[in-house]
Parts: sequence; C-alpha cells; structure tokens
Amino acid sequence: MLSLFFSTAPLILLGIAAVVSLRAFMPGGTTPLRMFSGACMLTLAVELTGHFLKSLGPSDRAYQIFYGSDQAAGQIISNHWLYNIFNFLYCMILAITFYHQLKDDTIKIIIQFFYVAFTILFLTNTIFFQGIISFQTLLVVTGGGFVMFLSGAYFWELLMSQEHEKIIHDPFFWFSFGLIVYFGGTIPFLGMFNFLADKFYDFTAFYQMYFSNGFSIFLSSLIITGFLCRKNYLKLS
Amino acid sequence: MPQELSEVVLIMISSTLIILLLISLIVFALFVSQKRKLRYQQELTVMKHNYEQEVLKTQLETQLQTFETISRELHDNVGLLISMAMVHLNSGGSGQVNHWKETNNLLDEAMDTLRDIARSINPDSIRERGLQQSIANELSRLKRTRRFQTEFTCRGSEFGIEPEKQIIFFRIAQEALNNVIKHSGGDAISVSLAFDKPHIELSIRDNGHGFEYPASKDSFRDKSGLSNMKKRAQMIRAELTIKSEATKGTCVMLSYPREGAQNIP
Repeated sequence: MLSLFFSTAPLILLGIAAVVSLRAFMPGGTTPLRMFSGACMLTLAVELTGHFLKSLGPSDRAYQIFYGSDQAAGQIISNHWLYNIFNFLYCMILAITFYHQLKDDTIKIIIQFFYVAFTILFLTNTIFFQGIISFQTLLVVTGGGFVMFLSGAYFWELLMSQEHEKIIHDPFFWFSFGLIVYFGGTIPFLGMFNFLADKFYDFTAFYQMYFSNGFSIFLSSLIITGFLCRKNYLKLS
Repeated sequence: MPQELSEVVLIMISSTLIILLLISLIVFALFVSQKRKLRYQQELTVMKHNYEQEVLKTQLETQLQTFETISRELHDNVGLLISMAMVHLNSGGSGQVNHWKETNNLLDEAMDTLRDIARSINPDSIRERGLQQSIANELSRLKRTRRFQTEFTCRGSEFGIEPEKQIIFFRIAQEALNNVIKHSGGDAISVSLAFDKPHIELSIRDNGHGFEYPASKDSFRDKSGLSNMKKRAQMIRAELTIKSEATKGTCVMLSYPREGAQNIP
C-alpha cells in the first residue's frame, strides 16, 4: 500500500501542480511565475516519458544499442539520458526564473555566469566524462546546489524586504521553500547515485522509492500551494 | 547490512539531515522576522494615528484658545478703546487740539489691537511668524491687560522646528502662560527663549504664590493641564521641567533637542 502510494503520488501531484500552474497565465501573472509554470509542465512531460521508458525495460532498442545485448537484464534503467537533458534544462529554466524574480544585481551577474558555466559543464561532462547514458551526478549536484543558492538568496531578499505583505501570500516563497528542501534532501543521494546503483541496487531502489519520491511529493505540494496562495496576481505585477 | 553500505547510508542520511536542519532554521528565522516586522508595522501605524490625533487636538485647542483671547481682547481692549474714543468725541469742549489728539491715539491703539487679533486668527501665523514672535505676541497681549508686567528675552538666531511640532511647542508655552494667568496670583511674568545652546530652551517664570509640585507621576491625574503639557512634551521628545515653591513662584522650562530642528532660511 505504502509502495503504491509512493510510486504513484509523485506523478499525480506533479500533474495537479502542472494544471494549477496554468493560473500563472491569468491577468497579472508575472514573467517569473509563467516561467515556473513552464518548468512544471516540462517536469510533468519528462516524468511521464521517463516512466514510460522505464516500463520498456531492457528490451528498449536504444538501451541495447548503447549497452549491448550481454548486459544483465532488469538492472539497468534506460531513461537516464532523458533525465540528464531534463536536469540541464530544468536548472537553466529555474536560473532564468530567479533572474527575473530576484532584485539584487550581484546575484543576476552570478546567474549570467551560471548560464555559460553550466552549459559548458553539461557539454564537457556528456562528451568526456559521464556521457549521456549514465546518470550525470555532477550535473545534478552542481545545478541543484545552485538552485538552493538562488532559493536562499530569495529568502534573504524576503528577510531584508520592507514590504508588509505576509510571506505566505508570496508564491515564490513556497517555490523556494520546496526547491531548497527537495534539492537539499536529494542531492546527497543523487550525488552518489551511480555508485549506489552499481554496488547496492536494492537499497538504491528502496531509497529512490520512499525518500526521493517523498521529497518530490513535498516539492509538488508546495508548488501547488504557491500557485494557490493568492486569489489574484495583480498586486504582484 | 554490509559495513560499506552502512557507512554509505550513514554519510548520506546524516548529510541530508544536516542540510534539512539548516533549511528549517532559515525558514523559521524568516517566519519569526516576518512576524516581528508585521507587529512593528502595526505599532507604528497605531503610534502615527495617535500622534495625528494629538496634533489635531492641539490645533483645535490652539484655535479655541485664540478665539477666547480674541473675544476677551475685543471686549476688554478694543471695545473699551472705542467707547473711550466715542466719549471723547461726544464731550467736545476746550482744548480741542488735545482732545482730537487723544481721540486719535485711542483709535490708533484700537486699530493696532485689531491688527494683532486679525494676525492671530490666521492658522499659518505661528509658522509664518516663528516661535519667537508668536510667544512675544502672547506676552504683549498679556501686558495689554495691565494685569501683568512682562519681560521677554531671546538669545541666538532662531531654529525652525517641523510645523506640527512647532504648534505643540507653542501650545505648551500657551498652556504655561494660561496657568500663570489663572493660578499664579502674581503680577510679573518673565519669559526667556534661547537658540544658542544644543537645545531650544524656553523658560516661563512668575512671581506668584507657587504650588506644591506633584511628587509622583500618578498625582498628575488631578492636574490634567500639567499632565497634558508633559504628554505633549514627550510627543515631540522635548523635556519639560517644572520648579515651584510656595511663595516663591513657578518656573516652567521646556527644552527641545536641536537635532530635531532645521535652520530657518
């Protein structure tokens, strides 16, 4: 029962978050809000595709081409290439979103450096180091760490802000809270993912099912809260 | 569980927990800070509201005081002068040149008094004239009643105060002068205004019978005029000191810090 919940709930909540995020396109919806909505929809599309590819298993032709037919069946997940590309795009979209949301000029300059550096890292890692098929742990740790930094920067701006509105009515407070907890909780695991999957597959599958999915449920819940926390976005514009 | 796995699990879980703990602390600090900010803002709004109410009340009281003074002056001074002028006109007789001169003088004095009264009706008069002139005008009005000998000294060049605070400062001075008229029983008032120190200092001294100055703040409840003066002084961050001894008169001193003031151009 619990495993059913943890295996289905992330996708369901992600779907709800993507639908609710369409509120960003209401009158008064700001550019960062709409960008974040785009990120949510991209996440849903990738997750659905990723789950579909995973269900194909070792019979997937792309997997056979890359790994050859003598690899042990049932142990290799065949959708890492998708998540590698997704992680790159997701971190870039989040960086652009925070670029438009944050006010500090120094942080904006750092984000501009990140665009270039992260792209170079992705290309270099794909061509020379971890490749596209195996899960790019370096990308996840760097990108996720940077998103945590941006979320922290947003919290700092909220702390220093002179505005009197309650922060629970600020969508980006919820998004930042969700992102910082999600990446903070999953980076230690995803950073060691390849090692753990290779040496301790059962433990990896267990941790992925219950803990990673748990953090994913938490993130989706806060994203939904963020998009629903105000009746209208006119005051945000 | 193999040892290697348990080590790995330990590292992973402890690092995750540490990160999550730090995040929780950050978010908690954010909520606490936000709550404090909101509470502070509410207190500020209440204080601002109370301050505006008090300023309005002071302005109304100043206006009322002015109307009372006008009414008294019209009755006591202007009315009397015009009556005397009419008596002179009707009496006629020898020494006509002196007679007309005297009538002319009386009418001139009545006209001057009327001009003073007209100026005092103008609501911007305190701001336009400045504190020194406004207090001097109050004293000259008291002198014209012939009940008091007045003396006014001013040192240094005048520093301006924000208009709302100026009204409150003047109102405290007016209240002190009213107390002298109503309660002192004396016949001399000496006022000094100094702008040449770190504070704007006003002192109002009379030669009346004095009174027993309340020993504690609670006793002010029975002396609402003094209580109002103290409260108003606190509002503009001025210091009010009252010294009084039986048979030796009373001295009221008001000190306003210079950093709250600005130079009059």
